[in-house]
Order: sequence, then structure tokens, then C-alpha cells
Amino acid sequence: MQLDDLFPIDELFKVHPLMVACITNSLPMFNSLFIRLNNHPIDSDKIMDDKLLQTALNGSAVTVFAEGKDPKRTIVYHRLPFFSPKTNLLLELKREVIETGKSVRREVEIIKYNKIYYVFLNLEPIKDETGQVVGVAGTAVDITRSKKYQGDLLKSEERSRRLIDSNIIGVVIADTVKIYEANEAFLKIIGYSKDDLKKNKIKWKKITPIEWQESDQKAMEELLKSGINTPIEKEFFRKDGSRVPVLVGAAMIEADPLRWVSFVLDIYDQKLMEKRKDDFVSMSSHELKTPVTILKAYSQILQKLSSPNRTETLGYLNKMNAQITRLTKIINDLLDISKIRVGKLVTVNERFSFDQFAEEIVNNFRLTVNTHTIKIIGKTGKEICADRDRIGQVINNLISNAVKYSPGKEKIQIILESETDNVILKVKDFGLGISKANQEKIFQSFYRVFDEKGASFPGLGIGLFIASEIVRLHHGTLLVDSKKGKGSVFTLTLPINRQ
Amino acid sequence: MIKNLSEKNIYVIDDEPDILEAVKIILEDAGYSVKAAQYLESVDEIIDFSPRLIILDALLNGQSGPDICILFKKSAVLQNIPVLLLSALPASKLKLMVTSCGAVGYLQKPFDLDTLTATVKKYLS
Repeated sequence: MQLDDLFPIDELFKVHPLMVACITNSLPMFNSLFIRLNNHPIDSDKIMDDKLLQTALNGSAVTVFAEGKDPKRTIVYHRLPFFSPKTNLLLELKREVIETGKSVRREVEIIKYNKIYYVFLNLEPIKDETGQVVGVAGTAVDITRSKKYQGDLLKSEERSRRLIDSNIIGVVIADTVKIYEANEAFLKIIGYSKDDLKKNKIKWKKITPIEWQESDQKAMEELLKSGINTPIEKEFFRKDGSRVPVLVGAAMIEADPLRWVSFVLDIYDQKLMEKRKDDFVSMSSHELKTPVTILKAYSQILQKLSSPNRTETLGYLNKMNAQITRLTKIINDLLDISKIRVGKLVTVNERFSFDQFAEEIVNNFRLTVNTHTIKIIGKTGKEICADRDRIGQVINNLISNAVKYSPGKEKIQIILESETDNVILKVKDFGLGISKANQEKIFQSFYRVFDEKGASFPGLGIGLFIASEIVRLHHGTLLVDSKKGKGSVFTLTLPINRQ
Repeated sequence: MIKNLSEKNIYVIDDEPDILEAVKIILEDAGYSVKAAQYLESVDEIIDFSPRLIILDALLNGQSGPDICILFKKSAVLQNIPVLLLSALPASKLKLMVTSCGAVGYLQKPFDLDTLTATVKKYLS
């Protein structure tokens, strides 16, 4: 239904030239309208007269202002029924316009059938040729809905506020330079006061140690690119100059001007616990190895002191030595497992000739292994940058496995190859082989292969797991290709230059 | 004043008396003259002995090997004497320690008798 149909505006104009209608129904936001017609000279006493309040209403206005009347019949000259005690306010407003000759814009609350409507009133004076106010034209915008949204928004804001004020986690609203808002939890973490914040004393640059600025920068780039950043571990300087380890994640609130919210978690206790675990591993290493060191030293001294004719004695001492070596390896493996568990297995890289290194390892094997012949085939001709000891550990493990799992088969081949960016070492045996099902599992920790008869080979089932962890730390690969009964090939690929 | 450094003098510090004795036996058997101590008593004593090499346990009872090494490196008399760290700590930790305290190298416990003599020979040559 068009407003024009309901509202014979042209005719109304004929009735009184001063009547002005604000027909704004075409704009959805102006969804109600009322017009005051006035054929009387303005007289403040008469303003309150009922007749002066005769008002035209359009459909939406009726919903708000009129009482259960057919909109069509209530359009013209309808007397405004007000149900709210605030009615008087509306009257006052009209009166204000008439008296002052100035427009009034105000939000009012109207209660109708116990329902609250919010209306934004815009009342404009209608003046005659002499400038005297003769009437009031007004629009009333029903803002009940937006009021509701505003309420929801406030509620949502309240919720966020609650989250921030709960102080379970440090919350900061900031840009690259300045911190605009921070909760108590954050201030507590960095040891500053609310007053410091107000006085703008907390600056990112000041509280971020220099070695963390690069990772900060990276997180910032990620934040700008994707709107959030993966939480990073870093440190802040506290006000007293001490450092506090934290976990920080952020989400962008606005791009322009840039604002983000950071969530900061104090991880001091966690770090302390990690350090204790790390110390424990180091100390166990020390405590377990000290007696072994003493045993080994004296068994070797005994060996040296024994006369070469005492072959029996020397043989026994040899057995002792071999077992001490074995015990040392088990201790090392167990320590490696604990380090992997706490993510503390680290590599220290150096540059070395890969071929020469492989040869050294194989030569060592040749000294102790008399059941197999180990042959090196090919060469890489390359130097690599890697942790020499750790890579040695991997190759040693592969060759020991080849020896262990190919009883009665003499041949073991070490094949060296190279690619542009990689060196490749293959350990090939012609022994028992590994079934397809087992091939996937042998790199898992504590997994051990049993043969059909349920017989197993001695070992803890951690060698290949540690090996694959070391290879992973070097960004290389360790793969197996095997046929049951035909033997296995383990292929170690390592990048020549690792970042 | 620096005394004439004896070609064969080695000073060993380790808090474990049995290890200390074993090292002494092995090195003396190899022809070296060894003075052993369970902790750093005084720098002067080491200077008096004028060793060609100092073997230092990295984790002493109540003392830190690397700290002692740094102390040596600050001494005009001792700073040029190579220090070899001896420890059961993981290699990755030892490598870092060696660089940070100015030691020449490390030997991991448990060690082979031959490795000990070979390593000592290497740093004395």
C-alpha cells in the first residue's frame, strides 16, 4: 500500500497551504509520520487544546501511536493517543517547538499494550510568511529494533568485558606502538600498574627483549595477512627488569586504524617444569653413566695389566667390556627417548665429508663384526652440514639392524648416491625381510617385530624410532623397502645444506 | 712468572675419586705425569704444576666445569693451556659448553681407554 493512497496530500494542501507533510515512506528508515495541522494562530494556551493535537498518521505511525484502529480510517486528523506516562514529554516537545521556533530531535519511549517502542522524533516548526510558528511537522522513526540490537551489542560488549575483567588470561588491545587497553592479568604478568598504562609508559619495544623482536615481527606479518597469529612463546621484560616467559596469540580487531587484541598467558611455571625435566634427563645421564664409566675404565685397565698369555682372563674381560658398551648404548637410547618426549632432542651441526664419515663407521663395524662382510658401493662426493654424532647414530643403527636381522647371510651393502640437494645412503641386507604390515610400524616407538613362530629378537624397539626422529630433525627421510625372506633396504636421504 | 712447562704434565679435575684414579693410571701408563684433584683448590697450585693440558669434569660437586674453564681463560698464565672437558652430559650440550667456555674439546663418559689417550695426544701435539 502506498502512502499516497492513504494520504491525499494534494487535497490536504488545498485545505491549508501551511500544512507540510514529510512524506518519507519511500525511505525505509522513516517508517512513521505525523503531521500536525494547525488552522489557528499560535497561542501557547491553546497548544494543549485537544484540537491542536489533531494529527495525521501513516500506517507505521498508527502501529506505534494509535489504538487498534483501522489504519485507513485513522490516517487523517487522528487524535494521538498516548499510553505512556512519557506522553507528556511528547506534548512538551511539541510545545517547545512552537514556543521556541526551533526544531527538536529526541529519542522517546512509548509504552503501548505493555510493549515498549522506541521512537526517534524529529519535530520541525512550520512558519508562516511572517516567520510565526503555525504548526509542527514531524517524523518519528521507529527505532525499537535498532534499540534492541544496541541492547544486544551492549550485552555482547558486557560479555567481552567480563572475559577481559575475569583476568584469567592477560588481554591487551593495542597497535604496533601503543597499548590502548590492558587488563589486570596482563599488568600483573609484566609488573606494571594501571597508572603506568594510563601514562602510556608501557611500550612494546620497551618490554620486548631484542632477541624476541624478530619472532614478534613474524607474528605481526601473519596477523596482518590472516587476521590472527599462531600463538608464540616469547619473553617480556617486567618493570623490574626481570624476564617473564609468555605465550602470546593475537587477533585483529580493525585494519584501519590497526588494532588488535592479544591474549597473553604466563608460562613461567610451565617453563620451570620443562627445565626440571630437562635437568632430570641430564642428571640421570650423569648418574647412570658415572658407574658405567668407572666399570669400563677399570675393566680396560685390568685388560691392559693382564699378561698377554692369560687368554682366558682377557676373554672374560672382553665379554665384560662388550656388555658395558651394550649397557651404555641402552642408557643412551633411553635418554634419547626421554629427550624426544620432552622435545629436547637437539642437533649441533658441522660440515663434514659424507663419504669419509660413512667409511669410518663401516671400518668400526668391520673391527667388531665377524659374521658379515660390509661393502661400500659408490660415493656421494659431497660434504653435508649435519650433526655428525647423531647421523652416525642413525647409520650405526641401520647397519646393526642389518647384521642382526640377516643371520647366516654374509653380505651387507652400503650404497652411496647423491642428488643435487641430497646425499643418499642405503643399507641393504639379504636377510629375513619385513612384511608390508610391519614396515609401517617399525619406526614407531617400542614396536618390535615378531616372526611367525612368535619368536622375537632382543632389543627395546626404540632404535629406529630414535633414528627417524634424528632424520626428521635434519629434514631428511628414512624409508624402508623390503620383501619377506629376501632382505631389506633402508634408504636415508639427507639434505646437503640445511637451514 | 711462567715456569718451564713440563712436556708431560696433565692436571685432572673430577669429583669422582674412582674416575680420577682410573684416568691417572691410564695416563701415567701412557707416560704422562698426572696431578689429580677432586675440585679446584687454587689456581696457584695448577700454575705451580704448569700442566700442558687440563682435563676438567664439566659437572663437579658444587662447581661448574665451564665456569672454572672461563676462570682459567682469564688468567694470563693459564689462558693458553688447552682445557678438555670430560663429562657424561649429552654431546649436544657438551659442544655448546666447549664453545661458550673456550675449551678445546670434550671427551664423553664412559670413554675407551684408547680414546682417552688418543684425545690427550691430539691436544698435546
